[in-house]
Amino acid sequence: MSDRIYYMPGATAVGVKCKDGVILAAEKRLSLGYYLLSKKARKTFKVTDSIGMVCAGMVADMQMLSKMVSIYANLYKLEKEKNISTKAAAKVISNLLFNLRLTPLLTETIIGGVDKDGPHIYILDPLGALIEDKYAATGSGAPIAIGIIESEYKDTLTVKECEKLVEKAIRAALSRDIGSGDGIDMMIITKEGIQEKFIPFTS
Amino acid sequence: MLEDIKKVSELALKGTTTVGVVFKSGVVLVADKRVTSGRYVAHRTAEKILKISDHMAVTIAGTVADAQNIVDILKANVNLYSFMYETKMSIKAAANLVSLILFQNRNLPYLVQVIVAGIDEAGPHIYVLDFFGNLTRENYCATGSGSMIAYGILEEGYRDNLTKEEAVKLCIRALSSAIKRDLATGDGIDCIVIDETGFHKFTPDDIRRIMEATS
Repeated sequence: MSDRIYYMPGATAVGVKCKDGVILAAEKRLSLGYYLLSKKARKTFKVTDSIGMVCAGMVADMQMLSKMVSIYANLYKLEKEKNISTKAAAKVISNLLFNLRLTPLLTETIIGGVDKDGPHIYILDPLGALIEDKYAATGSGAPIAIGIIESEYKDTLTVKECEKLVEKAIRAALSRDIGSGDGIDMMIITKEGIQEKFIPFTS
Repeated sequence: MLEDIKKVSELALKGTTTVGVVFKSGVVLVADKRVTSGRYVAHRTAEKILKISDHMAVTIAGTVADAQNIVDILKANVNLYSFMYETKMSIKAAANLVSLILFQNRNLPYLVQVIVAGIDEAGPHIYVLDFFGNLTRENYCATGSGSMIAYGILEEGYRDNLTKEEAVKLCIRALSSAIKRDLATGDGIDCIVIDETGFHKFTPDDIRRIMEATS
């Protein structure tokens, strides 16, 4: 039992695609079993100026993964003299994860961004399965968060409305999932770039 | 090590029913759209029928990451083959390639069941592959967690020389049964046909119409 908790650290990470952008958000709690290690963990990462990722799972793994993908994104830009597309960045993560299939990185990743094809989000499991979706939640709080998002999601949502929806979903998850808490990090990605936001949360 | 893999594969995305049937002049493939992680529905709009080329497609069941990796390798090889030899790869050759990939990883198997289907000079073909690369040619087949239920309908409804319409109806009927009785299957149906006129994907409206006509 104890190593199962170790294998699945708590977290809630949410990604939602809207009409003109993408919202990615995650909470800030870092726990090991029932012990709270940190209240200030960052689970949202910038990959490029228009692509971000959020993760649920082992923080070390997600930090290393985000570092590796931003390196590849930079290399791509230097070689091709254009920005990497969200889909290509997602595929890079998928390949990195699948190459480590024998000792997997324990992260469930949501990567999202806005490129010339518009806004997109992709979801990856620890082994590198790559699936595009309109909205997704990962981590131990996902079943709660996805219920809120699914009941109110529409294709026509604007970034502002989406922000409210994501905050509501994560708040719901934080109040009922002990693995999640201590505030929300949010990334709002539009054509103009990435805007980061922190919402403090106490209960 | 194996224990670790087991634990991770509990977290991995899974669950599916896919069905394939050969008819007179082509093949039909259908699949559901649900992806599960344990009892949690992780995705409701997944594509499990993947186009390899205009004359070939595969359906995937099992661990999504493993299956996607096999499809990547297969797609690259089919493309490379058509550039090098200026002819389409036969379905048998493609299925054999998948079989080799699976067997080479026999010590740590790709946890997938794959249907390789399409049409070539020798006519329409369906091949089914299991974890270890076991390769069989079938006229009708089902894979995934709901395959037993789908087989019930297929065994009862399949006969040689089906027309395209009959084959599509049979497949959709088999998958609807699996959706009704298998919890890891659901959230809609994808359907494609490959015949001598090429690769055709059915729209949700087409499928709805067929389901209303069969029920």
